[in-house]
Amino acid sequence: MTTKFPLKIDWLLLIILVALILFGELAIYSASIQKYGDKDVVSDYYIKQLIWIFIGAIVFVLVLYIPEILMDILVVPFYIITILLLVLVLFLPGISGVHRWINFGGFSLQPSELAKLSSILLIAKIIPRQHLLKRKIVLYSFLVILLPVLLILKEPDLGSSLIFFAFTLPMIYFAGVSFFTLLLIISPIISIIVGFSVFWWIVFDVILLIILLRKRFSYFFCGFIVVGNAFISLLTPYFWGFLKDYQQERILAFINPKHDFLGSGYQIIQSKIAIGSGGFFGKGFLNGTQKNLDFLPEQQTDFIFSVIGEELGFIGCFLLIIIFILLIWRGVFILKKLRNQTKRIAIIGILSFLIFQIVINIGMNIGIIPVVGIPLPFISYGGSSLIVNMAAVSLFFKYAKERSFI
Amino acid sequence: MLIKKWRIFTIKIVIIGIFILIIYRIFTIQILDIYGFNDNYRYRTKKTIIPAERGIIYDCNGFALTGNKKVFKLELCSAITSWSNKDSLSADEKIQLYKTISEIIAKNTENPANIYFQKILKFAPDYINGFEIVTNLTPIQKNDILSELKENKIRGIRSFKQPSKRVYPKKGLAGPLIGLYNSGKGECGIEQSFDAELTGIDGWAEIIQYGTGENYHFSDMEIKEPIAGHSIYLTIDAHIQAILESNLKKGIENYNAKNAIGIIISPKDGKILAMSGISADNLNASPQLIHSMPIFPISWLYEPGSTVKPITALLAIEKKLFESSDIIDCRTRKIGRRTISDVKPFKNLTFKEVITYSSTVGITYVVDKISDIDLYNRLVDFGFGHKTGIILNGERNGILRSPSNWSRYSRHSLSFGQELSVAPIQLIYAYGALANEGKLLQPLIINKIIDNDGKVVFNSRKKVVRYISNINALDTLITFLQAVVDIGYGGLTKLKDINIAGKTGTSEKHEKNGGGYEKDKYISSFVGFCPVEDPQIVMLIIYDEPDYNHRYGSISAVPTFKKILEEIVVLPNSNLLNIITQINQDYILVPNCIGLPINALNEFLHKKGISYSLYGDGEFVTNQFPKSGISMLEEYPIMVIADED
Repeated sequence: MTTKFPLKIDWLLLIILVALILFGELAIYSASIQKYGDKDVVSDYYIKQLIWIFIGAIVFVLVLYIPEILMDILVVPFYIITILLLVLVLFLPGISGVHRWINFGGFSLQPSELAKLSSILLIAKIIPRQHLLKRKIVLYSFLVILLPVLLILKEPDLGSSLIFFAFTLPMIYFAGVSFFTLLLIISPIISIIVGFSVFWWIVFDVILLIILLRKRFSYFFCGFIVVGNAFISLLTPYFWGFLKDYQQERILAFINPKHDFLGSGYQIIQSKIAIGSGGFFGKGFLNGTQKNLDFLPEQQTDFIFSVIGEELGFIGCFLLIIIFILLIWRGVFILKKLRNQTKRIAIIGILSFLIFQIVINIGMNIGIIPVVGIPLPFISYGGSSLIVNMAAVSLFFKYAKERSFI
Repeated sequence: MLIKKWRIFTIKIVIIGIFILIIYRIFTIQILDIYGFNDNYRYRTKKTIIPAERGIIYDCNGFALTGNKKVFKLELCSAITSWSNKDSLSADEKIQLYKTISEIIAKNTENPANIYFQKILKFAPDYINGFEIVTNLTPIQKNDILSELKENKIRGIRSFKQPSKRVYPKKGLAGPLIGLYNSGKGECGIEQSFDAELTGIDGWAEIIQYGTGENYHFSDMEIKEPIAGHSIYLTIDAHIQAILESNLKKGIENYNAKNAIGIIISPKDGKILAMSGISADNLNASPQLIHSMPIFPISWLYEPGSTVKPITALLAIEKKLFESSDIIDCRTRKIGRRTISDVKPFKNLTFKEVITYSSTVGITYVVDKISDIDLYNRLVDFGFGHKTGIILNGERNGILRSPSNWSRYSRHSLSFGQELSVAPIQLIYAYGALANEGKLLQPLIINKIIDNDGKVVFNSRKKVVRYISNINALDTLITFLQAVVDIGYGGLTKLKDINIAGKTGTSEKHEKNGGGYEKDKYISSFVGFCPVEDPQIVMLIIYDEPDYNHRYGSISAVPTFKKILEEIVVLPNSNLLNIITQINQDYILVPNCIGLPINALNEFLHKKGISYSLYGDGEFVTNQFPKSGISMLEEYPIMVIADED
């Protein structure tokens, strides 16, 4: 056994992972350096990220070699600990009213990142049980994410709380819940979105009614669902007032970036300019003018993709997306081989979680999705995110190794 | 339960679809370049105007009468300011930030913070790419504000160099003449008349704008340097001008006059050495107001009175109608219904004494022998009724009616300076012609104009307008005028070592609504030149409405003339009067002050017993007058200039 274990690593996946981390480190190195003319500012983000990579590697190995039974036992305590950390962070001094980080000695930990992984693992542990009713699958899953989502919304962190839905819904879907049920679950969210336009509100409710009637539900049920959704749409503009200013601004800025050039719209426009000015080959590593001239907001974290777009051009963006697709493809490959439903649901959760972050982050960088504070996995600067992502991908290796199909 | 294959397939299709969408989107931005970001934003450079410096106006000795002060304005770019490092700021945070900005600016300026705060609140939502918050900051104020903003990590405040602020370091000296430059154009005086020459050509520079809102110009970027405006050297001598102005001011106070006007010219080349018109209302006015006043010596009209008598007499001398010793009956005389009398009645006076004692009756007998047209032509020849041609806006013709419009009294009136209205500049140039062998010169106010590279683009030259009379007649007249000073009403002018020729004038003022003369409102004047042997300066002093006790030129204008002359004569650099070398006075050697710090200046000069007057706000002495090594009278202050930069 001991002589074999190095061979049981999925080498292709490892190469993909290392490539991603390397890509990220180089991008952060570039984002740390702002040099133009007489200006020369060097930040230490890339050094800190190196330390995080090192810590991440340790976590990666730990997860890989921890016995499966022990891990199974630890899922619930891990979940409880992350919930406690989420409570703790609310009582710590925040940065301009935002309580997201637990700081210790120059580094900071984001409990919401840990909560994502612990929730995935807990849901994956609960829902694949035999003969579990579908509505219980839905109920339990949402119960698991209820507390973290509420706590994270309190931080406040809209983006992170959305991620929970992003991985929970696919997990439920793969656990056997029908697409139609999912539609019913998310119909209130759609109602909220269409609530701002009477036209789309009516269109959506009519479509919903047609689907319900085709499924041959009782008229009472159909009526209840449609009226309920219509009611939500009606109330949305009212509840809009409860959103924080900056949350409203971000959503509005997305709908019309010119609306608020001052805040969120400014970020979207600046990042689009940076990416657009990269052209096909980019301006060259370290040579991005927009980056060097301080135009990019949060260029080492949420908007790192615009640095890549500017300096490495379309080639760089394309290459990065290909590496991401390879990572997902490899995940799906492992998923297909697995026979254990818990592991499969967990992989589904992790994949959804990664895909959601990649799509949302790149999407907001190129201006097709509103600005929500979601990092680009393995690329953005940030220790918590990196460690959680590495631990999550480590599970791929772990499950693949245990199936011994490599 | 196994996952159905079609479920995985659906998911795959969705994911692949999303990634294709993303790649397509990146493709459109980067390669199809739908927003045009490829070219326009590759380098976000802009052009910024570099305002050209306005030309400086100097006096004839190279003393700066104007200056340019660097000023800056600050713009707030709210798009950048309201975007903190992590998130866009909430409304409350923005208000707090604007308050901080206002306080920092207010701390370094004179205005209260609220003014800036209201301004920011008003403009920040609409002018997100920048609007002016504060202008006319000195470089020090600007740097202080910017560094304090930097300490507070506030971004989005840009500073721009404004066109320099025009300053007048001499605080109103020759103010109306120099004029005023305001809001981008010369509004009056030299600043207006020579606006085109003084205005430079603005340059521009490529700059790069940072996300923090700061602008930078790097050495590899294009730049076109501005070309400064031409410098103008006036014929005015700042020192003489200062003497003239201070004495006129004293005169206004002593004689309770409404206005005082003085001109000093050099009769040989027609250069104006000093020229001033001061109004009692403006004695304590701000320099700004003084600079925007009209130039009285060219625009104010008055009835010259007795100062015209010598001109009438010159015609008689020239035509040999009278000899100096011819006796003229000067008792009160009636012409038609008009009675002509002298203030102090005379009986018989010689022709010379008619001028010496300024007998009005006498001069009417003289003019009886002169034809209307001769008198008229002579007055025209001397420049009355026409502009002198000085290159200044605002000059007036004066009034001299042609003989066809004369009444039966006009000839007599004109002979002693009534029914005629002249500008002071006309009268002094007429006397200039008397002093300069009958050559009437065009007034010169500009010595030369020099461009940015030091090349002379304009050099003024003496221009003789016409020749009048002959030397013999003029010499005779000058002896008359010298007698005015030596034994006549100009006696108070008499100086021990200099022979002066001149003529007093006293005239009643016209009523404002025409017709008749106003009682007890006089204009008293004195015009004279010296030294008689070789005239170097001509000076005209006029008091408008002095009080009753000082209504005669001999009592008000004459003492002022004398005082000014005394001060000019002892001016150390003056080669105006060679005679000064003969005056035995205590002289000292002027030390070199250039480069001395201002705070050490007092002690340095005090030890040597020299008083000084300081001009400018700089920290070091940049110029002095007179220059070192020149000997000067101890009692006169030296001028020390400390220009900024």
